[in-house]
Amino acid sequence: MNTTGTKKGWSLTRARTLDGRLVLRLQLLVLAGFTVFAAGVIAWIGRLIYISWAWQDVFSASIGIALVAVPVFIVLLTIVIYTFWGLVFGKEPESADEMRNLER
Amino acid sequence: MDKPRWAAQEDAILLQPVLVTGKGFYVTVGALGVLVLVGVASYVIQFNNGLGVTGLNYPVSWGFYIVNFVFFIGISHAGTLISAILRLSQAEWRRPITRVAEVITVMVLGIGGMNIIIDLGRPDRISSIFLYGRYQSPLLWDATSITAYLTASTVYLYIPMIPDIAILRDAVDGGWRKTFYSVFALGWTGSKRQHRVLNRAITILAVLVVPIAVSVHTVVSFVFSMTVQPMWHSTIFGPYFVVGAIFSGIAALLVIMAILRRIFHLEDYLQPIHFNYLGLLMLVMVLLWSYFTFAEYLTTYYGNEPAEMRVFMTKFDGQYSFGFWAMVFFNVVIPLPILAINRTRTITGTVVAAVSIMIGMWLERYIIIAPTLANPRLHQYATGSYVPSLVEIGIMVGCFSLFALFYVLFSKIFPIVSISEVREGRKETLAIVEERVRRYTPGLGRLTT
Repeated sequence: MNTTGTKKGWSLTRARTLDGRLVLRLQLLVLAGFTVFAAGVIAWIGRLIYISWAWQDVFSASIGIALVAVPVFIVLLTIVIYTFWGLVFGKEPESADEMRNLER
Repeated sequence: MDKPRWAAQEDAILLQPVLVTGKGFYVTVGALGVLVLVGVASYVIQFNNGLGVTGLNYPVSWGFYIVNFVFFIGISHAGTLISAILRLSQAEWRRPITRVAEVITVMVLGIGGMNIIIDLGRPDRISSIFLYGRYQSPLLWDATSITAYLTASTVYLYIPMIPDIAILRDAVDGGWRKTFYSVFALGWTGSKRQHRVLNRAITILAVLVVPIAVSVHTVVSFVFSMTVQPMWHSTIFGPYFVVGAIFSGIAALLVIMAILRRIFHLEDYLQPIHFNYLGLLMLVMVLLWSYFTFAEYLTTYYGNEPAEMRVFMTKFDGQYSFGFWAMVFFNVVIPLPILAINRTRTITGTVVAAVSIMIGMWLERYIIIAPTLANPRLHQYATGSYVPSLVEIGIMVGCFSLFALFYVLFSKIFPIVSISEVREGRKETLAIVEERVRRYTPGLGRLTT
């Protein structure tokens, strides 16, 4: 996949009048929000495991569910952070040719 | 007046609903808003007076809300699952329909989950799930898997949409929308590095969401099958529910595609061939669903166990027979011939079949839930019946309207057909398909190594 998005996007982004720092801060805020959400779900599952252990209430069932659910949220969080990092800090062209293509 | 810059772009028709607001938008939002208010007012009545205003009683403690919950979670399979399967199998015809489908998932999962809270007589006690939930309860498995699916589906909807958000960022002139799109475009410029990152993330997500989606409806079925109630305690309920979910999901997708095609004039994007392919997929699901239903009912009948037979007979020949036979009529009798015959598998034909299936699958959920609760295993203590009240009907109308309202609002903020995927397909599809055919056809040879 190498044709998606706007070819003029790069130059237009450069020329944007918006405060880039404000946008970056808002982006970081959204990322932080998602991180808190995923961490919250993992913490919730952790609490349910703790309760089942403390109350001797079928600890094995809680562990069984957590073994599936927690990695899912960790993978999702990793993907979101990876995408965020890769896109926000990977927008510069890798070569002069690519830069010319993007600006065309 | 000069045309705006974006209007000269390729695929400008896909940007038009986002960037131009017509009278129709306000009328639709207003009408749907009124219906949502009907639902809200009904819920306020229930909240103030308790579940006594519903048709729920002892022993029928689950009614329309749980039917709607299962139905909405079912049609959520229209989106992320189908989109992920088509993406992973490199079905090139998927491009204009993936987003239409993915949006359905995110919307209906939220509304489905909301029905559980509506079903609680004391919604404030939802906090007990967070504080003292017990993982040996299938209800909590549901809460966990639906949260995982909703999160994964939202991310899966958002990440492929980033290039389109960048298009919108560059198309709008300023104001809050520019800021909004700039934030969510994540600095997309279309560089090779960004493409690599995006493709990798989409592929991992597509692989991840398939088992999550299957698990969701399996777990929904466990809410019933983990009990020993007659006609619920079945080992095939997991796959039966998954098949039913995909079945109703494809139907929902077809109906929404037809509506969008008509309203936004997307005839060039949503072509008869898309309806034909999805129609064929739905035909397979009609047969699979019929097979599962037959297996389920035959096993019960042949076993002839008294508690099971009471429920069986109430469906076949008793209080719920109208609903049961209507379900068979809408799920099999109407769609099967329409979808099986080439000549009738047109846009109109598939939409008629899809509407019929949506009605039939809603009835199926009702027919699974109400008759068993009305005739429980310990019937000597209580039997009953269920007739929904106006409050429940009002809330149901509100839920369906809320789904439509969310969909309309989404299409006002983001392009409902993926512009970037369509452009990519236009440029690369022929070469990709040719290369693929060369790869598996003996004697053709490969273009690239």
